[in-house]
Amino acid sequence: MKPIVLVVDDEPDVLLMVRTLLQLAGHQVLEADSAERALELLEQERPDAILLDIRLPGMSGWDMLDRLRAEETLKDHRVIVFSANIDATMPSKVAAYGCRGHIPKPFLPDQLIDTVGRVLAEAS
Amino acid sequence: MGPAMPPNEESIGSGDMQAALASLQLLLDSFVAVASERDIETILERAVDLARLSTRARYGAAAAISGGLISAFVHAGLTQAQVEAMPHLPRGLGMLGAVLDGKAPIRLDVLQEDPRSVGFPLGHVPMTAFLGVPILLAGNVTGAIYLTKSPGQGMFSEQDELFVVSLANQTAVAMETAMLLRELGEKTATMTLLQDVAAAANEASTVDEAFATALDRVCSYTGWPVGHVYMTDESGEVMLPTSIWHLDDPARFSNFRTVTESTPLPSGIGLPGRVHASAKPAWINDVREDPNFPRAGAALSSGVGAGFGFPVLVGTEVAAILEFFTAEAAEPNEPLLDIMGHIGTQLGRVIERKRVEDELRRLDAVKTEFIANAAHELRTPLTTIAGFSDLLRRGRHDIDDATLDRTVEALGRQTSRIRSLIENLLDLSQMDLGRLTVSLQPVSVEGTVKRVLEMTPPPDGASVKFSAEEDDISVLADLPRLDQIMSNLLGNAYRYGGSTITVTARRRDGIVEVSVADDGPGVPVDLLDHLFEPFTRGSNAPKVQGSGLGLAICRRLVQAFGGSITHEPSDPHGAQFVLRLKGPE
Repeated sequence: MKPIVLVVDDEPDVLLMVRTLLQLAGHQVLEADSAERALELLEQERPDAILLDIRLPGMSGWDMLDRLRAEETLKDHRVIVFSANIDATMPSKVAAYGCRGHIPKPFLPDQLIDTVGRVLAEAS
Repeated sequence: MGPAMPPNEESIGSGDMQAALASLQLLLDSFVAVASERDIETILERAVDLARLSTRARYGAAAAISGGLISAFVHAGLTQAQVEAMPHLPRGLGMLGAVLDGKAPIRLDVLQEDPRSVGFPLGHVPMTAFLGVPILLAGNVTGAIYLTKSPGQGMFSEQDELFVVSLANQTAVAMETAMLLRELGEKTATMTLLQDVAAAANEASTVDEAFATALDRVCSYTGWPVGHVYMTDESGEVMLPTSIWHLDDPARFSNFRTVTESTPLPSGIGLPGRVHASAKPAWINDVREDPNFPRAGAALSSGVGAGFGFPVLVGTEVAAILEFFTAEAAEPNEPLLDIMGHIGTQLGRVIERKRVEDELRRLDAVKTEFIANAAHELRTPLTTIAGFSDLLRRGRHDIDDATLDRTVEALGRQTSRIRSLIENLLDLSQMDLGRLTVSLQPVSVEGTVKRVLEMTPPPDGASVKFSAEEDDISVLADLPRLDQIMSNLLGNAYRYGGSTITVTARRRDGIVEVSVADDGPGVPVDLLDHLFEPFTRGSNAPKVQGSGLGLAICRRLVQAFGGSITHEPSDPHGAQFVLRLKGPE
């Protein structure tokens, strides 16, 4: 069975690109254009990894990570943060949240494929 | 010089020559004695002693006159009991007044027989012979020396008179020197105070530090034991007590301090309120008895009497009030308040400088944020462009046609997004450098709306209505730039507004108002304050469609036209942007 990756980003073109890249790498892709929508999806779906943008309209990526950590059924999700945030505290914050990886934007397609591949390999 | 010897008949020789020599010796002594003193009262005391010694007068007195009033008075020869028996000291009436008014010596054998005498008050010791000499400097009376003898003591001679006149001249010079020295001393202290405060103002790293130093310097200058600072709050109408104090005796004034620190004062109330209301220094003779001093109770228990305060002025704004108190009641000292006014201005400059520094820091932070935002905005489309290019290079045979089409479209979209972002950034920087040139000409509002609608029609489901109160309303504007503004405003309405967008034009007192209103949810409250700043963007729309620079550019353009752009909520809901531009006439 193909591993499932949930991509959370509010930019349609980013979603299109990431989805195409991941599909070519042999993954199944779920999409959400907001953290709220992602949390809804997680009620029914159990993705093997979540790619999460931080700057989102409404609920931010950090808010969503707070929610994931707070709920018993959600806290084991493997999250990879990908964000264009240039804040210097980003890597330590990502680590503090227990995320599995951080892909800073702009990223090369190989970076994305490799990081997602590594996280999925850890899972199996 | 020691205290003068009482007149002693035996010590003076009987021959004329001997007497003349003794007089000369005394005169010389008097020059040295009087000239060596620096205090007006001591000078007068010396002069009276010497006059009595020379003339063998039993009683002697001297007065200094300043501003027409007796400013100093000394007397000799009376016992303490005799002084206490007198109802009052001379008031400058009678013979003393005659000497002062006449500017000439008066020598009388029997005082009471002269018509100018007003007689003695009850209880006065009996006096007969009188010698009064004015102290004159450059023709002005600055005081008088006068001598009297008891009945039976004899009369004053012409030689006595000549001696006392010489003594009076010497006294005049000594008094003038003393006065000049005192003034010089005061001026030097004032200069030192102003220089100290100016230096503290320049060196202080915080406003509080400058205030604390000013309190210390003023207290040391005035000798007053209490100094404190009130700050004006943000409303500009209430004075808030600070914890910045100068206290010579903290334990003694602790109650006054505690009460002060819990007493905010509105403009007009109390000492700080009065200073605030007038923007001028104020003086209270005795705060314990002042009807407008809410801290009177604490002043009474801590032993606080007179008080003065002065404003720290930034332009015409009273930013703070410095207040000072002393234990005794005291009459207003206008020259002191003048000096304090200068100190207030000096301290105002410290506040002004800090405000400029804060503003520069803020602008620097804004600039840094701008660069971070611009970098972020460029990174996002670059990410997708890089990703899509790589995708096409490596995997185009594995991608289905529909995805391929969308990929190519996305590449175009992201490229034009970068282009427009860079164009907007360049536009904005040119405008901020003052390099924006506009050529103003009459432009039809309706024509502008039509052109923009042709280029960027409303999305499906939305419509734009145009209405004008009269035909052919034109504004003074740069045509392509006005199109750019209209395109921006309509673009925002398409993106964030509802289905109905209304553009209206009307003339009001020579100004043309153009409004672009929508019936959407309106501008989120948290954005209102920053609406026209770069990179402010509604979060209720996908990021891809705007750079966040549109309204910032609109405002600069409208300002270049000599007009304004404001946001006003639309009725009953929605956003409305109103341009106010000059008409062509």
